[in-house]
Amino acid sequence: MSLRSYVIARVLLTIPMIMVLLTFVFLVVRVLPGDPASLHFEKRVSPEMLLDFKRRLGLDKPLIVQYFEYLVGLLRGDFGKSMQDFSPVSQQIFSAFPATLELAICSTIIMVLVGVVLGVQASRSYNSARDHSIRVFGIASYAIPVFFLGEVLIMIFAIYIHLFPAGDRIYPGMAPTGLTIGGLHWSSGLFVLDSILEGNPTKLAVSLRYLCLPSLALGTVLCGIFIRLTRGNMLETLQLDFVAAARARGLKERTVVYGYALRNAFLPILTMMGLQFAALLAGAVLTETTFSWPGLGRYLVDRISFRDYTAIQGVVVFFGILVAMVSLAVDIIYAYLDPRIRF
Amino acid sequence: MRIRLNRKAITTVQAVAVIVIIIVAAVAAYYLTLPPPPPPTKGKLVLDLWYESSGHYPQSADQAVVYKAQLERTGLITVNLHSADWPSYRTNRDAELMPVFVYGWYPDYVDTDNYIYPFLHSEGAGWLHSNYKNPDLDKLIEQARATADPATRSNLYSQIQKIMVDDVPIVPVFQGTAWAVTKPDVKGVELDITTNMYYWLVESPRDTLIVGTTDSVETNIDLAEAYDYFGLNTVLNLGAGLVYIKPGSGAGPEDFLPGLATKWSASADGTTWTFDLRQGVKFSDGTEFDASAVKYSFDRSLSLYLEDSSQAGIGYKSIIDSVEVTSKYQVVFHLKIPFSPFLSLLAFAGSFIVNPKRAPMDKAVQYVEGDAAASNPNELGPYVLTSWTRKAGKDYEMRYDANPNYFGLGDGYPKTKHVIFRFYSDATALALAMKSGDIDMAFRQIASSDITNMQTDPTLKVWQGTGAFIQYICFQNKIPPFDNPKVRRAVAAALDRNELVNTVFLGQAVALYSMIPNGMAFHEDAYKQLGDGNIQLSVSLLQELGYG
Amino acid sequence: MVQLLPQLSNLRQRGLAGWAILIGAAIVAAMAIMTVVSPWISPYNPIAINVGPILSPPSAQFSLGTNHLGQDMLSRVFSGGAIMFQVAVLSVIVCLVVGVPIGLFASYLGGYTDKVASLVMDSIYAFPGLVLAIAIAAMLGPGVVNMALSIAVVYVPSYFRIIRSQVLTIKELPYVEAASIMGAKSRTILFRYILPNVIPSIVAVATINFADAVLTSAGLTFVGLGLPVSTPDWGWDLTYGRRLLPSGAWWVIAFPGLMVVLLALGFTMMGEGLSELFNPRLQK
Repeated sequence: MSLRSYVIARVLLTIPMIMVLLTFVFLVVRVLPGDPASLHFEKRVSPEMLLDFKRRLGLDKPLIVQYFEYLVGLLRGDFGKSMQDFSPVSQQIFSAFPATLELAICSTIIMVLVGVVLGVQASRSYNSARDHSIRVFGIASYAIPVFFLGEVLIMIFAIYIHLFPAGDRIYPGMAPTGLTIGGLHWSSGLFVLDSILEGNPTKLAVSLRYLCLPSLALGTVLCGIFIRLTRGNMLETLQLDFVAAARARGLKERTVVYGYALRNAFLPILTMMGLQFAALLAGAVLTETTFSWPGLGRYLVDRISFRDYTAIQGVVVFFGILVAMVSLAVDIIYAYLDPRIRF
Repeated sequence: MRIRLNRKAITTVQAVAVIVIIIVAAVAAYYLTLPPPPPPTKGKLVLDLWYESSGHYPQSADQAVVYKAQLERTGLITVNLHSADWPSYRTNRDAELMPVFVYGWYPDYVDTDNYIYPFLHSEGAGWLHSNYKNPDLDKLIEQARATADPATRSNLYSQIQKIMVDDVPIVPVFQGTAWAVTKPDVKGVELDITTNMYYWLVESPRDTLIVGTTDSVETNIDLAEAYDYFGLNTVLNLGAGLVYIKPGSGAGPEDFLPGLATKWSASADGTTWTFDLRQGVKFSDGTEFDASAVKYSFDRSLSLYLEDSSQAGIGYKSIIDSVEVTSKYQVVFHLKIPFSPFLSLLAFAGSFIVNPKRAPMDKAVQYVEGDAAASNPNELGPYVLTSWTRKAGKDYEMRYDANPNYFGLGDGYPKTKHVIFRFYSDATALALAMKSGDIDMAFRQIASSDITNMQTDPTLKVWQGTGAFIQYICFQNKIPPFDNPKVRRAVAAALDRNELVNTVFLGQAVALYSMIPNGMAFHEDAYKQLGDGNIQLSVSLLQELGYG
Repeated sequence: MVQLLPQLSNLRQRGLAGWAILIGAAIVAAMAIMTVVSPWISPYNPIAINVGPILSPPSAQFSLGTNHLGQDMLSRVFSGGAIMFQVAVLSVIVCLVVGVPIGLFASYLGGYTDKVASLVMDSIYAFPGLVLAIAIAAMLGPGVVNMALSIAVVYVPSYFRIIRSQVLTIKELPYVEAASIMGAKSRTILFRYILPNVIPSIVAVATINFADAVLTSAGLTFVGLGLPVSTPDWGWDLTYGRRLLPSGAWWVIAFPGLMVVLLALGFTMMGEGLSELFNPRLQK
């Protein structure tokens, strides 16, 4: 099967998956006790006013009609309007997303780096104390709730030693503004990138400082699986003939390990990154709450307490599409690099 | 055919055996750790106490734990705690599902009536769904809000409070204290009974005042719709009203200052109010302010009322009949009922004046991304909104600059020309920012423990004032046995307000013995009659009823 | 016939996995016992307020300090695990009762049922679990059963996938085909051949499920969807202790947090050991 038909087939498969998710959430939020219309009225509300407000929110129509209207809107890229302040949900999602994205990217870097390095170390001293302790660390780190680790990090590095800030993404006024050419303005929303584009090293330093603890917490908690993966892969690969040959040729051990053997592990690590993406997003929700990081996770939790149906649905659909896209990308790269694997 | 066991898998079997044992142990742990069957409730009053769990009120869970402990000290009450997040809590309230629940109140307008009518009057308390109906009390309340004479009102409210303690449909517990923290060289922070923050009174040696807060505008700043604290306070600073309550006063009848109105009078029967307006005041586009703008603003609020205005909850429609322009600078309000707190109502931000060109008659003004002017229909106040951005539904940045057309400029207001708001996600982040000197002022949400620390910190100044927020325990007077005033009295007597205030709020709230807050006109410590932690009275009442 | 219970040629390998299982099991058992005997070993009533000064650090009288309501942390640490055990056990039971039959039948029957079930399960599996759990928990409201249900919904797909991959493998085996040719009923094949061989994997997944349930219930409490406050609960102390950190009161969050970590660790070690045992990754 050619690559193109594989891709098309996968994309087509994604659509029903997102539909299932969307339908599920659509029903779940409407079953939630608590009614977004009445939450607009702090104290007293007459039945007529409530009904009127419901109409304004579109909640008076039968469920099926609401469902289809929402679907049609989605196809046009319209995520609807927030039930709380009537601003477009897509706008809110896109303003909150870069924060989560930046956190995810940094955590992934830490996760993979720590995982791979430790995994390699473990495999090179097979069955030694070092190996065992690294493996235990891998398992133990998964068992720590990410918000507890976050709080411990805050306690040590932000409160006792004032090395890092204790929360928020940046302090107001320090947000990088991105690239400005002439009158044109573009910012990615990723503060590290934006401060580089702006050419402002102070802002870069500040952004990194704020990013440190949250990504450290999230990255550590998820690195265990990469340790195990790398270790296993390396143990297999290091026995193979071509490695022995490279050693025989006199290449330095480090070159052998990192240059040759690790390349073999590249593909599984990449795949695992894709698989872990959903876990990353889930972990981000808790991390964002712990560090008051203004991302999508926190946005979602806020919206649930407002029973903001459209916003909740929007985030779920967005996450679903995101996860699907990531796993599709991973699969495509995999299929491209390894011709043995096809649909 | 069976699966043949392999010798080498013996250890596997051992492992599995261990697993099975662990699982059995876990299940056993489950059964044994099940909560002990509720203590025998025979002969005891079973009280289901509800509290809201999503942080809408301060430290609700802690309060609940303390209430439970206090009530159970009688030995005759068993308390079951239940919680729900705010939206579900509201639904439960309206569905009348909660026999006893903890609730709070911020005033709409600053008058004694606003603490009595919404709780004790059968129609006024409809929103609370507490089902308390006492026609005699209703009459007294209606009389009290119709007359402006302080002596008569005092008498009436005295009677009202007596009946309140006899019937005990609701039990006030504490009154919040208002806190602000600033750098030591900041002056002019007023924390009074109105809970308003008048930024134009705050003086700072620096040109710009940087204020940190955890608040955020919830919907918009259209005065016809805004209902949350921050939204209304923003209206207060950007817009202007006919009258103002003198900052720092008790909002008594003598405490009203001219705003856009310079003189006013009420007819003898209290239903016609005439206002002479200030001349020479201009909107941002140069148009002059006059009586037509006042009529427009109120007509708009009243018509939007039917659609979706939360100001409807305050009852504008049931109070104001019409607004009449009698001359260019004079306006007359015709009221449906004699309403003596009318001036307080006008001092409330929801009664301010909009710019007719900016505020369409048929819809509310929403937040517009990137355009502060388009997002704000309120003008004529000490400040102009120069920038406002929101991200993901929360305020991100807000900036005020002095209004060049402000009528108070001649008197030196606003004292600080520029105000910048920084929004923090929670009280902890705010406290840390204040401590590290990032902001000049922190206002509203600071944890009790942080306040205690800050009071001893020489680099900070802690301001304290009377709060207008009250927290109370409400009975669902329809559900037995809480339909019996004796039961309610027994519960009220067992509560110890001082212990609550000291344990949960470290002494930073004030015990409250009436629905009328401390510092407000006609307040009496009515509930002191029942005592604090008066276990004796509680037990004897319960025993009379057959418990124990 | 094909050896279905895996052979492990490397003794040391098995040894490590065995050790992991034993240590994990020991930790879990110890904590279960601690929770059970907590009423007898707690020096104070864990929910009584003001038994000691508010927010006092660990001392001779209160070895783990007191919290902001004057409750003794040691007693709260002893009895705080009860909720987590209940939630974890309940969610595993629900998963087993719901996930195993669906997995068995859908994958055995194949065809349309299998495709639909796989689609639904994959959708849930691919999605960030916690987000879904939060939405469901918000819907159901606070309570042990409701938390367990939200966790179960998120975890059932894992069981489904493991069972499905096993069933598909076993279904193709010659002796199973032979049995069906010989006229054995589907029910017999399912229960006498397939199920016993699927059990080891189920056990492995179940133990990891325990660990995840502990962590997720802590997470749900953290986000505010936990239980009414009258029961001592580590998750609750974790959430509350957070507010007290800036004033320096580290003991409120540290000790319950450690307990949660230990409990999750115990289950995870057991789970990892078991997976290693039944699905050895290394054929060395």
